[in-house]
Amino acid sequence: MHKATLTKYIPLKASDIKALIPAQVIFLLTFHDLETMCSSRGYVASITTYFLNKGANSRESLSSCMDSIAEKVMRGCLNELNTRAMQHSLPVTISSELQKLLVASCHRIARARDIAGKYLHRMITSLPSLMCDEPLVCAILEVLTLLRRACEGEYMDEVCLYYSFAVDPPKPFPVQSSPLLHINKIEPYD
Amino acid sequence: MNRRPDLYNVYLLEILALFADKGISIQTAATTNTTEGEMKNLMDLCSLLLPIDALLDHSDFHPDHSPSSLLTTRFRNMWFICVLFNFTPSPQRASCMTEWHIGALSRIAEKTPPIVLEEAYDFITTDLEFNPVLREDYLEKVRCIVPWNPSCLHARPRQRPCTRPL
Repeated sequence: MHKATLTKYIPLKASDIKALIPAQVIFLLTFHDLETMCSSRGYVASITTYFLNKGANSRESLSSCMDSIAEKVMRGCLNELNTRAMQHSLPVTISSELQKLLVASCHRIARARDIAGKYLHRMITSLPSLMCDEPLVCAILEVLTLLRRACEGEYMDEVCLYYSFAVDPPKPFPVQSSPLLHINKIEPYD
Repeated sequence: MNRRPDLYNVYLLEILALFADKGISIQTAATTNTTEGEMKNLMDLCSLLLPIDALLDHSDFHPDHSPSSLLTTRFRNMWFICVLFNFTPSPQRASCMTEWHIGALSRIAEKTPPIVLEEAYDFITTDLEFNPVLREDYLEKVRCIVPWNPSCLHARPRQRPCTRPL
């Protein structure tokens, strides 16, 4: 029953869903239902947290289904936000949530970064009025400033390590009074 | 409860544990073919959503900010059980979910911490495959149900022992 529901949500991934065990199906449905509820109330940034775990990212069939679910949640959320924007009733939390997405778009884990970047890009493209929000614009400028400083710092505070290898010169032998010295001092025969 | 904010977290942990225990007992009862009280048990489970919502409604309580791993696990188990019994928005939503319960579940979703931890080692095996709140025999039984034949739920259970640790 749960597999049929999941297949209804993401029909293009039907072959991947067949390979999933029931517990993974429940997890994917939880991801879908929980994020749909959160995003409909204006909490959009939590979607990136599902892509942080190494174990979940490494399973091919599971991670491809997670991508499709994220895509579906994003589409549903954007449709709803578009409707609400026309009625001038966007959720008040949207500004802080977009700032969280902006921070997540610089995350060190590539999948979380990609999802956050994609979500943010779509939000701002479909709702340009979001760029009138001062805290969001300041956050974007701050991220850009950090990026510029990081790029400059790469050259200004560059650390280049040069290695030079050398062998210590051999120590001289201790001078001793040897019979040879005496021999050298012997005057030659006439 | 308003006078003792230091007990919010303890109380929440206990209610979530109770929710998971109740969910496991319903699955156990369903697999041992005692279906007479199933609807009542599901209603009891639904009604536990209301105190969780009331607790999370406190403006000075934010379990989603820096949660412990235990709290994350308990929230995750609560959501797994909600999905398992179709409490969440789905084509076949449980009949015990009234408007109050649906509203409560949405508000709980707002304050739910991230249910996947970055540092969780072997998340798929430990937290999903061997999760004690998802009984394999119950999931096998639910799998045989197709939307056009709900009476299959009361079919004779398969004689297969549960392989999960409980």
